[in-house]
Amino acid sequence: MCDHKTYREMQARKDVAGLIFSYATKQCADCGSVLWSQKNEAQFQQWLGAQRKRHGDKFVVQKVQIPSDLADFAIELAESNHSTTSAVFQACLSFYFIRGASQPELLEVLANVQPGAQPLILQSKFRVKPKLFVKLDASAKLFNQNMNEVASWVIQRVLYAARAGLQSMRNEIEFALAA
Amino acid sequence: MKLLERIRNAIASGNVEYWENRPQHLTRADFDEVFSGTPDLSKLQMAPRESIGGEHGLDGEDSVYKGAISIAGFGGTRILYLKFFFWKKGDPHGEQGIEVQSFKLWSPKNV
Repeated sequence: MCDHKTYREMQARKDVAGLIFSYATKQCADCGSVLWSQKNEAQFQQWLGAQRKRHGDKFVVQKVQIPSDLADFAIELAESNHSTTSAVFQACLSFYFIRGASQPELLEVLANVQPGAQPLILQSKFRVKPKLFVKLDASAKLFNQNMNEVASWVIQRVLYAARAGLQSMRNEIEFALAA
Repeated sequence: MKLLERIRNAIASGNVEYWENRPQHLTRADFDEVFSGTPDLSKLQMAPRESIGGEHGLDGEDSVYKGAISIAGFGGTRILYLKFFFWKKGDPHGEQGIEVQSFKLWSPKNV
């Protein structure tokens, strides 16, 4: 197993939703591993943030499946918050992948939720923030699933918990919709 | 401080040097996702660090952690291989960083 003892300077590229992030880094001369440094991470996050305005249409989630009763609940949430169902879905994902890190007890609840077996409704595609897209993509690859499967898993459970009376979860969705 | 907490602190403070070798290795984004959850680190083992290579070879701790970890999510469980060490040496309760030397899907060949 290589310990990356010697390396050379190089220019590397990372593909995100078909967009290329190019960065200067080091490559191990022995095994070919490429360093993703603190500086590269900071540059990447800055680059990612800038993509939303120019290429927001690239960061989309498609073919999310929601049980019909939860789709009705999403519509109800959207209407009562003067928003859209797409925004409700984004709020669910945003809670799970971003704000949820500071609330592990809520994530634990979601892991144990069992949404019912209502007929599934296929939702059309919706945009997400680039940072959220990267997290969804990483989780999908990590668990060998498609991005829409991971998004469906999260959205179904967040909506189910909110509808079942978990007020803190409903608050999280409404907070995101109001932001 | 528990090992998981030390790793999360390093991630939160941005002190992560991450070596990736595509396509075998997972990405830095994968690494962040795993540690935003609660991976099982109980099978990680400590071993003497064998070289002073890498970004923090000189100021890193003398031991590496390596072995299989597992993470559950989205209805499944994944077993991964992780090898890393902490820097800076001698400051286990300060703002430490980590240098990840290897992070990939686990296979018997990794051991």
